[in-house]
Amino acid sequence: MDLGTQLAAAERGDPAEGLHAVVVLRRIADRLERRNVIAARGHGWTWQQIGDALGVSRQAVHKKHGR
Amino acid sequence: MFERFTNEARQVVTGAVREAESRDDPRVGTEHVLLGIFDSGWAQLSVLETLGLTRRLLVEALDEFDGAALAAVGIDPGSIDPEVLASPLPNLRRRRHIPFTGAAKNVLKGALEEAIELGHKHIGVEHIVLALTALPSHDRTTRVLKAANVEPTQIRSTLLTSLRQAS
Repeated sequence: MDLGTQLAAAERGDPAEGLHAVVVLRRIADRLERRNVIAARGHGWTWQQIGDALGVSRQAVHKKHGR
Repeated sequence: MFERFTNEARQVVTGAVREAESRDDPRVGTEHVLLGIFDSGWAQLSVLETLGLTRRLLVEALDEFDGAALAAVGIDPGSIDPEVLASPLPNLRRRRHIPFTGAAKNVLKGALEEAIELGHKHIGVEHIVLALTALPSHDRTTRVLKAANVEPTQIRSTLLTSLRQAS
């Protein structure tokens, strides 16, 4: 499905489905992030390197995942 | 308001928070309150179970909703690594506080109203269940119940009958 078709479907369709999909995708992204941050730390990555890879600041990633 | 809640009713509330946490949901919603009822040690849980409502069935219905939402935006839920999709890793730093949705707050307020209506002084799990059966049709709990083939009105009448017999 191309983007135009998707947008048309979103306008036609039930917004509840689309909004719920956002929640599910965020959950998947969160879980994916956690797994990979743990893996990166295990590989000796610095918080700076992980932040750069995620496109957020070192402080942001440390606040979320550091202990 | 919580001072009038029975111990079991409090367990529903703390159970709901735990359910939201373990599902990585951003808010404690009515569906988590419903799941919390199964974790509360409520003595009348058999009322729900005789209607065919089990914890496993509810969890399956919620997972199906998640999959249907992804499918609706063109993502095949089967294409996502099931380990990522289904198994939460413990939060390294658990969020202090997950807020309740407006609807979930209304369920707790509704439980108070159900108790007043019945002339009960305490607020128990039965009042929370009654409040959950009075939700609008678009609410996730109403939809989950429908998906599990249980009508909210059916729960309401069965529970009210059982309460009348007990009193």
